[in-house]
Amino acid sequence: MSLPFMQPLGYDQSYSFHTPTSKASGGYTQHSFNPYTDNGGTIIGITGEDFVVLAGDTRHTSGYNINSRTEKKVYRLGEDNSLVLATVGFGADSKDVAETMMRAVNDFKFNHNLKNMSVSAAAQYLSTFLYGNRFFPKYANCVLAGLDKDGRARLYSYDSVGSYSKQGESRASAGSASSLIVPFLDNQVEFKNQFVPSSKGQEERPVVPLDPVTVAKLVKDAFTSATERHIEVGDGLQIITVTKDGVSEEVVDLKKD
Amino acid sequence: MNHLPEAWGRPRNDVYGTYDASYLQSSMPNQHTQSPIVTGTSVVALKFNGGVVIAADNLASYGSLARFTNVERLKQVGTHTVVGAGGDISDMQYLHEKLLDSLIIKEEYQNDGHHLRASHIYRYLSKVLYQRRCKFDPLWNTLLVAGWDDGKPFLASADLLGTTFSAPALATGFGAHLAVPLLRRVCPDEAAVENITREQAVDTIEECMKVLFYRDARSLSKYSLAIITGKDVEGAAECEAKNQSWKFAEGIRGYGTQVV
Amino acid sequence: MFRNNYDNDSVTFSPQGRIFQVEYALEAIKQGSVAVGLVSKTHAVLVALKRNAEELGSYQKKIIGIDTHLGVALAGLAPDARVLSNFMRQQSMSSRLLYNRPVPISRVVNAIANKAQVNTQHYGRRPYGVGLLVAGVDETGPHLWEFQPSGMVLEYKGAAIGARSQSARTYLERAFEEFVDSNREELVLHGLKALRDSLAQDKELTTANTTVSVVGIGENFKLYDGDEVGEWLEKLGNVQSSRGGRTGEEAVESMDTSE
Repeated sequence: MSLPFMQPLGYDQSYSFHTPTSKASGGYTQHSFNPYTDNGGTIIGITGEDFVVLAGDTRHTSGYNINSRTEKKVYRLGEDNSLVLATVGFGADSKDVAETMMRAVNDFKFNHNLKNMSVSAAAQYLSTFLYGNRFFPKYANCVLAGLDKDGRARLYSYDSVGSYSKQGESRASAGSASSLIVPFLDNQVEFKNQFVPSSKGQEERPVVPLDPVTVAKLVKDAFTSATERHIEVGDGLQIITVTKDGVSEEVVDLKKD
Repeated sequence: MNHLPEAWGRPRNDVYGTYDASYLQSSMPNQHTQSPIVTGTSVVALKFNGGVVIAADNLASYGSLARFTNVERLKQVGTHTVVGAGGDISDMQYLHEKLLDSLIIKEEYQNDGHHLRASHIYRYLSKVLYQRRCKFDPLWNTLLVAGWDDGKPFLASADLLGTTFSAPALATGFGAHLAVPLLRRVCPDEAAVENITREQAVDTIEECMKVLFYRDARSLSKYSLAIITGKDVEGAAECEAKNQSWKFAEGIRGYGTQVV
Repeated sequence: MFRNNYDNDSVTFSPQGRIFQVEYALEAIKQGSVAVGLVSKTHAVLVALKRNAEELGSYQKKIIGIDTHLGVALAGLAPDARVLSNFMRQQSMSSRLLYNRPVPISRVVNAIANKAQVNTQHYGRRPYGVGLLVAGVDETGPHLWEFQPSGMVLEYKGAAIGARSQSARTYLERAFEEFVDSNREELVLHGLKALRDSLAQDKELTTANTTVSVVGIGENFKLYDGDEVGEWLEKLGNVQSSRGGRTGEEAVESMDTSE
């Protein structure tokens, strides 16, 4: 049975997602509940030798609406460890994933004589959790980072069903403006398409780990640029930096238009 | 007279045709809500220095029919929290009268000096909404939770998907388009809350309700408004959109009684 | 020969109205080493004496952290305490996830009390063989609760359970007026003094056998174990029962040589 009135506004108007409304053969319009939406935003992560930075903008959108200018996307997975997780995509799933990870890390601690979960263990756990929801995926793109037992930076990125690289990565980006940011990071972190000046384009510029000041600049540049070109990115930029001395957070302004 | 339910209101098959009773067969699988039936429109709310103002009109629409004009969509929960609901009215009533009432009763029966505050109630509702969406059986609402919590005003939103966010000025449904720009003019960010007086906040919300009544076809001029402060919750039912001006309508055909 | 006919299970009253299995469970607490808890207006402290079953064995665990605002000290069957504390952790985590609220201390204590009571009323079940001191801070301030296998729970300003705990209680009763208004450090020292008083004559507090935990308003649950206890013992000075003895530093030194 279908009823011939419109849905109240606010539920189906999504810019990058839309509610499927199909015409069945009988000429009736069939509405179906779409359990997903996209709340926009972008995250990035960059590693140095012994530090790692995760950052995300703080705009939360539904379609063309800005719901909030201050919703954070980067989470610490405990107060006394180096684990940080950034999630982007569908806001509700993203928060659920983050909460699940916080809970797992906390449980691990209590079940292992107050030992903290290693970053590689957290990485595998996140993959297992996401894949456990393979047939009703969490629409959340994750970047997980932390320091390993030797104090080296580790960074992992995931798709929504949990595939990731155990080796980790030097940089990652996910979310609505990731396609704008990834090539920038390729060039600036991995030095892709950069050559030693005297070699006439024959010798690639050697890749060296970045220092914290450069990384901080890259993060801010990436987001100011993404804010210019993508409507779902802006308002504020949350930056979490993990070093051997601890975890620090900073929020800076982005353009609000 | 035939008293069987399929005959109600349809006395003569020869005039109206046989009644289509197919929907009465229970061999069909259970259906989850696929769209809302009787709906409420926007809820708007704004923080101010010392509290939060929240308002929602008293209309429940059945499609484009203004079905009930005396529906209360704001609900006081506990001592310093108000939950406002837009979307499906029956789902709202389930939330208000089943879940929230029993939640508070259970909390207060403990009688141990602990009380659920706005942030606690908000988290609970978000979880309920998210769990229901994960069961593909959503509660078709968008909620605003307004309250006084831990010495600060609290305002946050949760919807049928479990999406949650917080801001110093929020509006659901049509209000997200029409009221939010008006609210943000007064309160662009959290820092601005400090400089907003209670009177200013109430005026702004009243203005929003008026604009929504002008431009949202599923709205009503009669609305409820609640002010939550550190002291208590002050409710004002049966508010009326003030200082309306329909002057522009005078020259337009189709408004009011047309002579020609 | 006399034989008690009313202690085969925990569902049968004796003609005197007693349930012996439950009373025996209370005896199990007294087999455990002493644990002391006390609260001021700002802090709650647990201190306990650890035993090692064998010379070459490790010391038992006497204080278990449940959450950042809550911990327990135990006396009696440690495995039973582990099961109870795991349950408390679940309750605590649920409260955080579902209500975004650290679980109120009285609620989590009542939850384990209800579990314990069930065991006293079902045939074929065994009461928990452990007593707990639950210390934590919630919105209504710092709290100390005692839990017993009978399912009884009571809130205290100061309490002690386990072997020779009467001496610690005596100390707490005498020092009560002082420690209710004391600061963090003084409160821990009062706890250690109470613990010290319950030592056997030839025993002393060492970094190996003493464990301390503190939780306060705006301050997370902190457990001091092993070497970390040293600073507290130094502040305490005398580490033997009030019948007199050596200072903390000497005790720490003697520890080093003996192990």
